[in-house]
Amino acid sequence: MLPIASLLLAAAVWLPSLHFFFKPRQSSIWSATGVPPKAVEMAARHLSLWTNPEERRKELARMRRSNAEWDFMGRTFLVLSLAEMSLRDTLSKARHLQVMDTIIAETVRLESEHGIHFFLMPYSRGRPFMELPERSLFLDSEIALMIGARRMVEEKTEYRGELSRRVAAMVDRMKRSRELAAESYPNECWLFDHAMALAAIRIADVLDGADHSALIQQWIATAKAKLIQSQTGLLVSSYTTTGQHLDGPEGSSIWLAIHCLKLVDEEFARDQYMRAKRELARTLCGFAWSKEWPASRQGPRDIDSGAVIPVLEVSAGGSGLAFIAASSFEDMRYLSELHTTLDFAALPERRDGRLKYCASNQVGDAAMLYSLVLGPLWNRVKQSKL
Amino acid sequence: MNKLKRLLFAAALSPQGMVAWSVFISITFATVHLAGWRDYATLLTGTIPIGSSVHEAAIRAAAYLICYFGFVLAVPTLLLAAVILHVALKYISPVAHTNELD
Repeated sequence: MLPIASLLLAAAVWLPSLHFFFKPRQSSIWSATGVPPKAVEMAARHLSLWTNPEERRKELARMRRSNAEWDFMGRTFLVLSLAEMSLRDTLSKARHLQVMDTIIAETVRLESEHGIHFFLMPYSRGRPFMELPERSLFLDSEIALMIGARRMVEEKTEYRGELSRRVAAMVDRMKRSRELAAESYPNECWLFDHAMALAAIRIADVLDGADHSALIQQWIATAKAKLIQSQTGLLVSSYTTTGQHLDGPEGSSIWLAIHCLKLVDEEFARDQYMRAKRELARTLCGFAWSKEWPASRQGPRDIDSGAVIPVLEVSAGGSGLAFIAASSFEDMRYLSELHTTLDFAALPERRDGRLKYCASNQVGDAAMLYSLVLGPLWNRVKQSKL
Repeated sequence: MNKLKRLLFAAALSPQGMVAWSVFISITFATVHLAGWRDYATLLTGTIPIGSSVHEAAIRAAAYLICYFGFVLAVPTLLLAAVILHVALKYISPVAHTNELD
């Protein structure tokens, strides 16, 4: 009896104290103006990948083996991170712009040489797209956002045509549907991509003097009317071109969408954030994470979710993107607890001033990096007059 | 066999047994860590390391994670429990201690 009681007592002391050993100092994960130290370490690792072709080939190959989308999204998050870091630290701007240009040029080249399916999952070839010639909002939105972010840091006139073409293509595809729903996969439209597209369109408007506010407002109104799940009040993740819901709300979509929506309708984004926190965010003994699905939903697993750890329902994909929304809304308590979980469970590895998380991958780490530095870009866009 | 089980169980539930388990878990963790199995934890995000089959990666990732969580969760708990039990046996319940040794 005594040994069991000792074990229980020891566990009762240790487990609630554990988070103190992994809790980061706020200054290491948050800075209003400069680049937080953790971001410097994570960025060093990503920059080394983009300056060392062999290392990059290996890292991208292991992600593409599971999901080609991750290769693409890792590029987007890194370009966005470098744009934010350039705005925070002008001394590093020249170096970061160079890497951003390399990534953008290689991404556009790969898409041009291999077609849209190169960065999509194999089921993109399973049936024809509803709208032809085939285009994917997944690619158009993120490439446009990368270019827009780059140009917000420093104008590069060679990119004007590419950004205009992407925006025109996205607007054209959205307008073909009464629900303003453009395909990312055949008859499959994703909230994630539409939110990215709206952010990219808003940035392009600021840069090139166009005005798509009516379209953006119309999309928000349509989303509120047709893309909200009744049980949770959260936006669904995917739907058809006619607005028929496919997947309900998911952590791996909603958190990023909230961040992008903040740029075009902050009130709506905040409402979605509060709802997502209630439905998906969980905390225990100083640790926090995100579930992938609300309690009301039971369904098949999506590869974007990564592994979902049973019982606690920790979703790797959902938790990774929760950093972005928490940072975007400066929810410091949730953000700090997410970082505590990250440093406890994602197995950080520091080497030569570089930080990576062994339980993550390049896209996960890039999303985390973005969450550490985001802010100045959205602020600059908001402060710019249309 | 039952006697052996009882003996091992009793030994594990003594302060010395708890320390021994802590050492065992720590050595096992150090072994898989030095073997570089930490990188296989990327499987948690659905990524399979290059040069590994899914099966091999899954086994190594699971082994590493069990050892890691054993090291950060179980080892401190066992060591703390060993101290508590030692104090309890020595100062609070000498009779129970004698009985358990019997």
